[in-house]
Amino acid sequence: MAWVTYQHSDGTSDKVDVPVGTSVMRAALANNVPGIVGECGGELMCATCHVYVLTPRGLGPGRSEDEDEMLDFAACPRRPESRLSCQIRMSDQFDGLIVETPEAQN
Amino acid sequence: MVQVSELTVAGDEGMPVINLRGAEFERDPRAVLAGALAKSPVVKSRRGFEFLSYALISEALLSDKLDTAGPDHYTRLGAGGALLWFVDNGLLSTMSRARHDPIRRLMLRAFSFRNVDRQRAQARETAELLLEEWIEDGRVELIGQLTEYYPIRVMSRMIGIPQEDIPRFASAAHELHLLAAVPMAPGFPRLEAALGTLTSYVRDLVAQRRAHPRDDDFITTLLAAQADEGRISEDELVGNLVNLVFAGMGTTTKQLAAAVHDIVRNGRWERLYEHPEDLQATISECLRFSPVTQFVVRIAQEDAELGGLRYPQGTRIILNLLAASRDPEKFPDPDRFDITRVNDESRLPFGWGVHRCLGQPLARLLIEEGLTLLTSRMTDVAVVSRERGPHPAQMLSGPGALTLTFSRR
Repeated sequence: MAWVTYQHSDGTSDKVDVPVGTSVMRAALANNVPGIVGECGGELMCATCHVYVLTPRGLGPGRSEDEDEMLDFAACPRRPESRLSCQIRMSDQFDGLIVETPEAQN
Repeated sequence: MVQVSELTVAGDEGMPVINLRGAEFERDPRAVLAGALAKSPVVKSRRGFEFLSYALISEALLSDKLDTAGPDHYTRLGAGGALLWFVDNGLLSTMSRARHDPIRRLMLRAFSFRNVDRQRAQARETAELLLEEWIEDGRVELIGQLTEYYPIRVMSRMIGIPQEDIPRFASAAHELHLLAAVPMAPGFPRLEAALGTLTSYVRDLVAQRRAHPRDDDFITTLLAAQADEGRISEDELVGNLVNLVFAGMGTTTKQLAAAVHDIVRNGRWERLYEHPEDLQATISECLRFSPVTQFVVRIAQEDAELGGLRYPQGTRIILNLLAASRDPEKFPDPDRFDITRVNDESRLPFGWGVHRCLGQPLARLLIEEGLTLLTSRMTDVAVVSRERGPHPAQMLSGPGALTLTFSRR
């Protein structure tokens, strides 16, 4: 298991213990974390699980071409640290991951 | 259509059967479905196994063992050349994932939230022009005088179809509702003719636009992607335009009319006018209360275990969105129209997963702008008559006509 913190634009946050191998999007849905929709089910067909990765720094550039294209359609502006949370699979290395959820997903 | 007696899976003894042809279902489909759901989350009908509960449908929508019916489904039914061409090149939901995925991502360039939001002003203006034609009358048949024209005009402008061309294809486009008919085969001759008209119209338009590109329309965007990235063939480009432009408009036509009906009948009209901040919650509740898309079809791609039963490969499963939207486990007191419900994450009205409705942002925007305009200009609204639409066993529902009286605000 590895901890993920979801920080929301209203100042609240949710901290979730996520099984290794589970995506940050699925973990949010399974734990009723607000601010992540994931409407295509993690198939890189939408951008409604958009997050900004605050920690660790540098996780932004790990995007595939398809993820990069989808991020252009996110409801909130993309930033260098933007990722689709369905594409971040938890591993021990990401324990302590902190993501910020955007103000809107759709 | 299947014989119910042929539908069996291990462990289904005593599973309820619903009679879609019965007088009871025709009179009150929701009551029949609610009664069935109280006994079992899954039932049988001539359409296949029907999943009724919200929980089971959520599981099914995200299962990688289920997918939409492929093109061979249409071949087996005896579809003709134009329909098979359309299914192969335009109907995204039937394509193999390898072909579907890059095309769907391309189509998202039109239907992304930000691009759709740029259509807001023209949507308002389009609806206003239509409303001006009857606002002095105090009486309107809302579908024939507004909702049948409003979505297609907005969509056409967004895509790059000249407004004056709409009458050339409007009746053919309307015929595409036959793609959702149950059974579908009797409509094949009409579908052939309609698809022939639409395809040749779009093919000519695309050729014209290639010769004379514009700055700001979606056809030009698609042509640029075709030229630069080579990711969509000419047939796919034409087929997908036919699909997106024409297949989606009937649902919004009906959904907006159904929403107006429900808001008036549940005494929310004035309140919505006074509290525009309630608009999103009101629309979400309208989509739950009277969903136009009543079910979607899935086929087990391999043996699939869902809700404790094992469905063999090839099993046809109906995700009954109408039943699930009144599932009391998910929506307590489900027959009450209540905009304070938290249901904005509902998976039902537009589906969920890889085939979720691509046009959802535009559909929502059209309903938002339509309701905002109507509540701001009409008061003392009363429903004179609501003509029932198609038979309730059909995939798409919604009123056939909705006549209102009102005073000008």
